Amino acid sequence: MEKIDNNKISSWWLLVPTSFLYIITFFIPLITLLVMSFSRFESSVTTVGFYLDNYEKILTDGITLKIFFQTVELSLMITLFCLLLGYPVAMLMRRVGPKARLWILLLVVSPLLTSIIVRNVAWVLILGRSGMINDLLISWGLISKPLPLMYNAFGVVLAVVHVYLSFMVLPLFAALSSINNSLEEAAASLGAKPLSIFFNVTLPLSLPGIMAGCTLVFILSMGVYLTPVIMGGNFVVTLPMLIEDAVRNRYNWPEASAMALLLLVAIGIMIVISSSIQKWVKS
Amino acid sequence: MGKKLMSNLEGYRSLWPRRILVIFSSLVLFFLTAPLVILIIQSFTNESYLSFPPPTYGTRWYTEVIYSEDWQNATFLSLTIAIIVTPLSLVLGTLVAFGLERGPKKGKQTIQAIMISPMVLPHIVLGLGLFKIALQFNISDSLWAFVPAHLTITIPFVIVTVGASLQTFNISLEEAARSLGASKFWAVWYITLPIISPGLIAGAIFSFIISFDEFIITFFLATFQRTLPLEMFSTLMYQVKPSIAAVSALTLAITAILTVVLMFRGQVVGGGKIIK
Amino acid sequence: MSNIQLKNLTKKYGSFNAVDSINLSIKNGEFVTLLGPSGCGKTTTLRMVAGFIKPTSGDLIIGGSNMVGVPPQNRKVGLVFQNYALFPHMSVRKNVAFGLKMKKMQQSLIAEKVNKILETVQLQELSERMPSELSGGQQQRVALARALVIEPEVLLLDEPFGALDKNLRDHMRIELRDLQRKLNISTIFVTHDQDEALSMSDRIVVMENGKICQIGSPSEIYENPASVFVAGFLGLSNIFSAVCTKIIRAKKTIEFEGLTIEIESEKLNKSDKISIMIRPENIQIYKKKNDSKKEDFLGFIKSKIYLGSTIQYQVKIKDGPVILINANNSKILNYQDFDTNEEVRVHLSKNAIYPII
Repeated sequence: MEKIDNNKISSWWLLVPTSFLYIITFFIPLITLLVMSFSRFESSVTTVGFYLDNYEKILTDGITLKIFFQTVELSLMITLFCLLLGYPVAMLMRRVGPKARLWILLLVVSPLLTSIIVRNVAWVLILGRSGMINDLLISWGLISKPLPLMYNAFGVVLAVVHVYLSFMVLPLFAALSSINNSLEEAAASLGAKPLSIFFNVTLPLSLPGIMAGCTLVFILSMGVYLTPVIMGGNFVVTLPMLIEDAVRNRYNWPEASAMALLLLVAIGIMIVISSSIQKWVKS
Repeated sequence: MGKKLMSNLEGYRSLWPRRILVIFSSLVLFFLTAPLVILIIQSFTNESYLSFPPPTYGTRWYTEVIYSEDWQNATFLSLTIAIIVTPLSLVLGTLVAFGLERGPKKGKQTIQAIMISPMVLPHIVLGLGLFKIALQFNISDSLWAFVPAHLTITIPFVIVTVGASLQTFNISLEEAARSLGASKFWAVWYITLPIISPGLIAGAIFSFIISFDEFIITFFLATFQRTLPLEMFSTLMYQVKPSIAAVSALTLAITAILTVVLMFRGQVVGGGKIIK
Repeated sequence: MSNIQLKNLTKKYGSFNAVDSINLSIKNGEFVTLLGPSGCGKTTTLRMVAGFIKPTSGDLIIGGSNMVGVPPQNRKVGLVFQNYALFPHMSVRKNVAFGLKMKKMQQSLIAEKVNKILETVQLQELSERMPSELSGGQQQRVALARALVIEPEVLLLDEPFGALDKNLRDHMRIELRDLQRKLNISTIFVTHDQDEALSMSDRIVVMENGKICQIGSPSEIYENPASVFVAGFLGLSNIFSAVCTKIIRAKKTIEFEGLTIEIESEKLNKSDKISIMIRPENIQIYKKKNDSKKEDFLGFIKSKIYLGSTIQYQVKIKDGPVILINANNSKILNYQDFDTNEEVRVHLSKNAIYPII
């Protein structure tokens, strides 16, 4: 019995103010980028039209595509580390009592209360050339020269994982807590060992949460600009950094737009992959 | 049979897997929180450089930051934006959440996906597009650009948090109020809003923090104006001084205090006990 | 003169008729129950009366004026929900006072009215409690007080006992009915529970597929059901299709499932195909050895279920159907106990058989 009530349609009026805002601040900017990406940029003059120059350039200049794949690789690495660190925490949250769960939850989300820049500053103070770790190691006489802990991929991955781990734990916990305890107990009563219960029951059933968390972290990581700049110096370059450089230093809007669209396409592909995996798991 | 079952259940709950889980999770939680603790400790150094543990403690860098005009201006701008954005975002997002929840089921999912899509758009892309538009309207580097830009990324969070509260809200409570003589508006005002206040508060906290901490979009839109994250960034690019640790600790304090205040106020508004 | 009239009230969802042209008139102070399985349209009808669903067509008259198009807040209806819908963030007192506050009544008058109704439902001591601190029965009393304090023209009850356990439910039934009688308020009660309907109502409206099947007093509905559906829905019954084979004035012979029996009925014609209903409590069984009358049937006990005050037997009648019998388990009233597979005599008296024409 499907209830189609015309009264309900009127509720959609409530969406009008926000839709109006979105048109100006979201849809028009995106369309503008799309149009710009097909425009021609010659000696600082932009000509609107349908040119494939920018795409041709970013796909063939060798450097943009390489940095794009570096960004993807970095994002995949960040996602993997978030999953490996986040899953046990989510599992523990499910096992403990409600009070302990609340405390863990508070600790997990507490970094969200601080800005990315603050968290990055904290890492600079810890990992920097004269940061805490190097300071301590040198004063203990364990090393004589500071270790290169940042201005490399290690520092960037570490800091971004720190920033996005919360976004992994929350969907994982949601998925894990929706698994009925009795399923695992049933498996145990049939004689399954803890490890095989985990791989045969818990892990497959939490796959929707894993996919949700990984998709979210991957998308966020693809767009990350600040952390590579602060933690990577100029040694780790990501696509967002190229975009920023193209616009702010070279005023080359068409090329920046094309790179932005490349980023969106990568994210779109990731969303399609994850949703098709989820569909496949369901069936 | 019964005994075997017991022993297996015991095995399932045996201590070692759990211990490993606890130890590993503790390390992860330490990894999450320790940097901030270290940062706060370092901010109280009395030296002209940062080190851990600081040789001497003092509040000289806090004094310097608080009396610095640059930091004052940046903090004032950031707070102004966040204070304008938070209520607007809460109202607009709540309207959307109501519209989606009370509207027809058909098409709800699609429209909801559209309304929260700014959430999954990388801010660098949004910032790029918004910069172009702001230049066209000649409003870049002003609140007229900052506020709508921040709203675009905060509203989806309000839609999600308020939407989640509304989904668990029992509509018959509102109907009960209607049958007792309340108009639609007053029923929502007296009954629905207080009951979904946890979602509203979460939405407000998210809005404030996201706006207060926003970097990349504002980075594009601003030329001379500097919000707190922009000021921190440019200082950081120049030199890692203890003042940056003091500012970080201060912003941390601002967001933490605000969160606690909002949560406490929410308790008062919600009248205390909320049953499931 | 506060009566309620539903005139051709209809609600369509697309081509689906949720409520199909219902006519019902409720007298002042009458307690009317809408009874039927889920999806029969009873709740939709109630929600149309309350004003939450707009009828597709038809009229709804409360206290002399047509209420179609009037929003819920301007109808004088008191509504008690299945889950009570108590405002969780307000104390008992504030819950009850809400309706009066919405009417912008004076504070002192509100306090007076709230105190009075809380006294009526015996909740004055709990008035500062939050709903979550109350038992199910207390919560229901609050819901009732909240609906009644606004002095509605009609009280609407939507399965109000669904969330209570059995003992409390029986108790609340009596309490509610007493209160309703005392206040003399017209009431529409929606339930799918036949016991509630039978025990509380002045009149029962049995509904199916958006239509009214029968309106009548509980005894009328139970004893003279208008259709096989009504007979099957209220209480246990044996229902068989039968054919009338012989007529001698009012004495009609009917045949069903290989049995032939004579009944008295005015309306039956020869060769009429009808259904007959026999309530399990109207069939008697005896030990086989007792001297048999010739109209009794022989059979054996197929199964036996102990229900406390009664014992339910399934008896297979020789060359006939399996029939459900409820035997009284009273130890003082011709009490007899039978074992499974025991052979018995079954007595079907003429007035136990009710033809549904």
